[in-house]
Amino acid sequence: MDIREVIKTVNRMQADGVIENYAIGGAVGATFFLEPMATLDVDIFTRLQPEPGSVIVNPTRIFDYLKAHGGVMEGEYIVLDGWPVQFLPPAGALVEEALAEAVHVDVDGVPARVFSAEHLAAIALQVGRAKDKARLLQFVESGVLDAARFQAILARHGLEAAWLRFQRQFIGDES
Amino acid sequence: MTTDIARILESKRAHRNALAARPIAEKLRLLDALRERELLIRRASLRGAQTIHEVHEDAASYVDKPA
Repeated sequence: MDIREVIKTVNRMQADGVIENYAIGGAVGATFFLEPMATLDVDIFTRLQPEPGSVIVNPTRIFDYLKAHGGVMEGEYIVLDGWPVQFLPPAGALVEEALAEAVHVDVDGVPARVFSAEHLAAIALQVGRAKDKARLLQFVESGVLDAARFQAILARHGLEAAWLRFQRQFIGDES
Repeated sequence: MTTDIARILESKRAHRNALAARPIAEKLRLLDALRERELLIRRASLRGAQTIHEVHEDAASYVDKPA
């Protein structure tokens, strides 16, 4: 089990033209900025392209490629190197922007593309499950967020009221 | 060992910060270890899963929604 091998495989997929740009999100993405947190899967965000001459998006090409490279299908996941991996299209303007503005990180010589800390925090606010709120609090307490950039993202995506509510509930501070 | 809750919380915070500051490759190896531990626990509890409902988590909805 080696998550770096998963990243290498996704990089190869991109180099081979199976996917375009990608970015790691979810708990694995957050681990690039925070302490490691247990997670069930690896979320890879990428635009799923329709087949040439078609308007219908078909992920079969991704799955066929990965199966040929040792991946095993398990429900909505494909298991790579022991990790269930989910390929997710950017559904919504915030995730679209997060994908476009993802940051490049070097993992011991393996390049990786990851959502920025500010986008991960904004997505956590938008998704809003209990564990997302806990993650957002971790981002706030860790001090890794660029406050101006984070505020601008919240404003662009209509999340300011949700942020105020979050602050009232968990931080006790609306500054 | 202390029972001073303020010191305990500060110690936890310091430990989390130290983990967060580790090199990314090391943090990803820790993720691998966490996943392996989770699989061990899951396998060990398979027998109990027939009588105890497994923890279920809904998938995240990344679609924009009203604030």
